[in-house]
Amino acid sequence: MNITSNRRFFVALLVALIAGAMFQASYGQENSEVYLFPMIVSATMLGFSLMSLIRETFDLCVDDFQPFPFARLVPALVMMAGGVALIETLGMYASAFLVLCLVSFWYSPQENSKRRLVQTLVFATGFTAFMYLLFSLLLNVQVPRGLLI
Amino acid sequence: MEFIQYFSEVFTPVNLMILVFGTIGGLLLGATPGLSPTMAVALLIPFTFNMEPASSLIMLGAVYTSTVAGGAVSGILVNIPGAPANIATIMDGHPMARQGKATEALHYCFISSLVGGLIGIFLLIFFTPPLAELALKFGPAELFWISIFGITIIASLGGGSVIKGLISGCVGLWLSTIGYNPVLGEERFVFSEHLAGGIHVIAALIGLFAIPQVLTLVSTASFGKGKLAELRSHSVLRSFLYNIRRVKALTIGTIVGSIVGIIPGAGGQIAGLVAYDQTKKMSKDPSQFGKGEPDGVIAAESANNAMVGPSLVPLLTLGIPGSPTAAVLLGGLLINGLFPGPDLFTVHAAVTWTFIDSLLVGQVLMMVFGLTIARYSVFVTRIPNHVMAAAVIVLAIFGTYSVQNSISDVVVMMVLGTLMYFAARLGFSAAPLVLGLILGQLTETNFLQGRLIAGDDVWSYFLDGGISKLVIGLCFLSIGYSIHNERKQIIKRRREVEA
Repeated sequence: MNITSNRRFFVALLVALIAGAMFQASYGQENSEVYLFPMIVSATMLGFSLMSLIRETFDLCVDDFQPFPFARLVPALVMMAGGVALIETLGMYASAFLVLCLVSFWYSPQENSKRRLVQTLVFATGFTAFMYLLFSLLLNVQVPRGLLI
Repeated sequence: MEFIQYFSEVFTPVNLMILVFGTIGGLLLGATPGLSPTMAVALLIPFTFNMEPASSLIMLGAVYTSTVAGGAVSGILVNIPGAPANIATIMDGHPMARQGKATEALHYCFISSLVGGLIGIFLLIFFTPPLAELALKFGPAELFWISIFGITIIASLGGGSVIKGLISGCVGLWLSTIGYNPVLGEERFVFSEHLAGGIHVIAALIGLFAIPQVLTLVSTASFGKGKLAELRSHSVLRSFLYNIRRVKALTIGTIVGSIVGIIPGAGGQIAGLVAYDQTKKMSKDPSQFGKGEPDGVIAAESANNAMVGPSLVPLLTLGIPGSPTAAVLLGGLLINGLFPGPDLFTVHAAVTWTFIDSLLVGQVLMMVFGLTIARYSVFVTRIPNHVMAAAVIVLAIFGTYSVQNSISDVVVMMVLGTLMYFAARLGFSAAPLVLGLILGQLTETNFLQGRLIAGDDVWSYFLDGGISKLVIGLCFLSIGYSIHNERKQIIKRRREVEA
């Protein structure tokens, strides 16, 4: 087995474990009538994942993996999670403004400068205003209001 | 030919203005992630309270038809389907946009929508009585097999691997069971308070498509990669001529859309995906699908618009909505004192035929305004990756929140989307998962209802009947074809490696 085959095998194993957990969650319940459909689905999924494991063992697959660029993803994931976590504290529009500023500033290809900061603020303000116009004024969506707006 | 004499009613200044505003508004609402046609029509019902019955139905009908097509705009340009009906459109629409063919993809989208939409409405006009009879033949057993047929196409939607497509589909089906049992009403798998109401399809749809897109954009932002290619101009006439020549894709899309439209409870998402899958299977080179094949856009869009007319057949004749949006439209009819049934075409013929005629005119307007929007797609394609990523995150959060005014939906959307990004890097596709999620409830509801109706004779209830047998046959064909196709790909790949 080469590195790619190894990786594929471990992914198939992981999928089989997840399927096993779903199977366990569906079958380990008292009222089997309520869980009948999830039971059928999880058993089918377990079957497919075992087939996949066998295929990987005998190297019968063609699909390739793409690497995870973790270093570039982590800031975005933190900003998104932080933005959602702050919605109820800061309010929907304030957290949206924050996420817009952080993501567009952090990932901008330009060098750090006053111009980059101003561009980011103008974009974040404009887009937040557009969201307000669309969702609050036009569609009358009641968004959470927090400390700011 | 009764419908012709009511065309003049559509062209009165007030009705025409309502039709134009409804169409433009519908296109814009459709392009907003999270705002499905059902929500758009529901949002507009209060605005119709003080209108004449014909005008209010014209407004709702225009919004219904144009939101279905409008959802493709955000799907093609930023890979977020505006509505579940547009899932199939983005599979080739967004790759086309990435190759600089955004305008062309939008042209095909609106031209195919017009063709499918017009044929669907003509079916409504000319074949309402026989189609209504056909709709009545679909009981829980037939609907169960229809949804199983939908599930079998999961295998080929997964891209490279059939088995990975099937596993993704099973995950989607299992996720659809979170929340309440649809027949017995008992709670299941509520591991967190955020899952108390189950996973909303729109929240999942936005998360599964938007978040992986955002993460792909940020992972390539500073390197200048991942941008859409420079936009190539494409004349409307060339698009029109090309589109009309794609007879196979248009025919499959229109037929599938019309059939799915009649089936009560199904929807545009199923129509688009089934049409896409069948067109791919019948194509001379299925490997081009998913890489920017125009036939994928044409089949999907003609199907989801062809569905609109026939979905009104069971609604207008029997009071059974053919799609979730048609169910909301039923509310619009009842508010105006119009009750489905023969009276609609006799006592209220003027209102009913004016409404149906307005759908025909609305299709043409939808194409005209849609093609105008396509001209300005250049602005979206020029947006830098970091700006687009930030805008998509915020749009996804607002769009998801607006579905049920729920932060839990936003959390579910984020979690599903992030997991999907990593799963996609490992070769799993979002489309089968979404289809599983959509079809899960339909399958389970009909399965449980069928069991209750059948009593002790479950097998014969589900296996007897002409429609059931036909659909079971189609299921076997669909799975067999997918396996055959994958085997062919493996052999081809091996030969390439050996060479």
